[in-house]
Amino acid sequence: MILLRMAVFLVWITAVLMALVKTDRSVNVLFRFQAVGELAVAAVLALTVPYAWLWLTVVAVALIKVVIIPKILFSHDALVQQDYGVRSPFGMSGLLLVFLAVTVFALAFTRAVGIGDPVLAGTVLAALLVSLVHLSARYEVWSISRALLSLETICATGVLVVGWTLKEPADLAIDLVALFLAFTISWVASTLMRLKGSVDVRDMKELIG
Amino acid sequence: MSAAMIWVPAGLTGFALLAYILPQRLLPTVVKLAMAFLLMTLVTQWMGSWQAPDALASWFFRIIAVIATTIIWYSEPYIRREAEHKHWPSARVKAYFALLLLFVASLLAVSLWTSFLFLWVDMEFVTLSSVFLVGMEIDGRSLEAAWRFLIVTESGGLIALLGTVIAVTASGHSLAVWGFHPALRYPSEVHTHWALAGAYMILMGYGAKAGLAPFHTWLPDAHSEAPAPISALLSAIKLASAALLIYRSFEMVSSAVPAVFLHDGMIVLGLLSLVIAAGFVAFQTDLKRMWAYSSIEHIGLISLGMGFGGIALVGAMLHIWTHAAGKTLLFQNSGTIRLLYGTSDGSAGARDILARTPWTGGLLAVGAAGIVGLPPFSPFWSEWLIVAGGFSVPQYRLFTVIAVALLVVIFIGIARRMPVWLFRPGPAERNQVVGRMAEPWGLILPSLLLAVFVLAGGIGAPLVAPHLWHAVVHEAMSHSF
Repeated sequence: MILLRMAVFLVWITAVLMALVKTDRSVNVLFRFQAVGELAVAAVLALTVPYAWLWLTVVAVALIKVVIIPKILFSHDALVQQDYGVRSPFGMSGLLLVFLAVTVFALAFTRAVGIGDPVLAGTVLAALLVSLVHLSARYEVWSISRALLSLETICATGVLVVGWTLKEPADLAIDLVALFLAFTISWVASTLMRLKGSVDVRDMKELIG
Repeated sequence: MSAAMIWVPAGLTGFALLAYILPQRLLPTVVKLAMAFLLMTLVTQWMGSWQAPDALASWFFRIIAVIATTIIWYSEPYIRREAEHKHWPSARVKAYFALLLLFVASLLAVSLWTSFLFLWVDMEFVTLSSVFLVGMEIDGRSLEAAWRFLIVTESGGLIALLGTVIAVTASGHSLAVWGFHPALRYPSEVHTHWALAGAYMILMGYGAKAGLAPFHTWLPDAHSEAPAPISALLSAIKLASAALLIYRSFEMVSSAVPAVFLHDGMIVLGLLSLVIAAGFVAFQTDLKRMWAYSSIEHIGLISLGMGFGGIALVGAMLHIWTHAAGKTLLFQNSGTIRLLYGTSDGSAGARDILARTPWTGGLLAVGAAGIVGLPPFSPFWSEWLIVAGGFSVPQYRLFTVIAVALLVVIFIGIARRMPVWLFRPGPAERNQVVGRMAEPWGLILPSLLLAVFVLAGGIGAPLVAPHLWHAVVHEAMSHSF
């Protein structure tokens, strides 16, 4: 159980760090670490319960999220790699306080509702909330793109944590969706940056209404 | 499980591949073959050669097949003109048709598949293929719309995934079972609180995909910036698919959760959607944006019908069809207006349409009269059933009164705006004699067919398929959560 908690903690901490980092390069490294967190959850479960499909998940996550997706995202635009800095409506310390608050809320909520291991479920819920805050707390296209993929990894981890009790493979199709999602994000983000010459979503004029 | 759940989406996916691989001169042939394939699936299903999972699935499948056929029919001449006018490269035209057919294939799968996990996967393919289609113009505005569409609906989709797994687990069901009404597999693992949390995550997640307020922020941009046939498909079918998934999921989870929480959730989002539509619809100067806000209204009505249950649920099922026919007509009509006038914005020159292009103007008038719920047009009958169903349940009467008041506000808003496009000449038209424009029949004919559905489809559809309709009514009245 302690290994499982550590793996889920890795997913949470990388979600927090991805919301704070200043370059595309760092956020890509963190995305890989987060995928390792999901992979570790699947591996720990595979070692403790007799379901062979969990090993398939380990291989799929390693291949798709650790190797392929970062390559897709990192190769699409040179403009992103020149960007350095944090553009956010909040200061970084303010953002950390928000993350602390949502984490305390998530842990208290899962303890109050009461199912299985509240720390484990609470950490996944906290990571989910952190990632949702990230989606609206940064202005760079590359940061928001990674927030969406981070959310995907957190949800896939949640599916593993909750869904393994069903004794059924639940997450291989989800990894394929993640791959398609990465392609779509990459296409939209790179075309936007080519057209606007900027990584800042505020340079996209709000559509009227 | 029927083999149709494989060969129907797979067949259309095959045509999508052909559309992308073959040279552009063969594209019209591929598109016609894809339409013939769709009609063949419709006819064979009608004749009983294969069965959909249940009556509701069968009803929804037929709606998708009919509406998608008219949209593909309209797409061919529309995109040919659009590509000529905006100098689209051949690869983009081929990509458009390939993605359109993939989009339709994944929508058909929503009606035929019965595993909640694979339905989620399929809904993701619906969303991701449509993101490319929304951004197909590859200009600033369409890409901004695609970006917002991607971020909002994918965030929702991922929450729906976690919600689905939590709800299935906590209500003691199995992820692997294909069937909407599975027996309890793990009765000892039922957890009411978690099942409810999962159900509300599903409501938020698929609610974002359905464009229900307050998760609707992507919808006006995506609908107004996408090519007209895609706006039609998004509004008519995609929104309803997501709403139907909420309904199916709630049916499954209702064995573990008090139904009142589920009903209330759908009613609250439905009413909120009507509030948003009532607040914005009257201030739109662009036709497509106005119909986008109207889509929020109608998906709100469908949500209300599902929340009220009983006869209102029957109304919601009928409304999926009547709204689909009406909104497809209106979006296709807006596309024709954009092609002919260079804009669908009343303040930028799309004025006096009835006099300058009588067929297009007439179809706009028919569609608008239908979509605001005037009798005897088809949306009137389904809205009537929803409202009557709401009034028949004492605890929902206040909500129904509020909904009717909001519908009146929306009616007044659209009725006040329509003369701007239909009758009033703009400053440019007043100062010079502007003659009638030629209207391409390739664009008018699919819309004429839809106008027949808008005129007679409300009562006509149950009369044309009485056995199916009776089965839908029976299913809605007996299986409602």
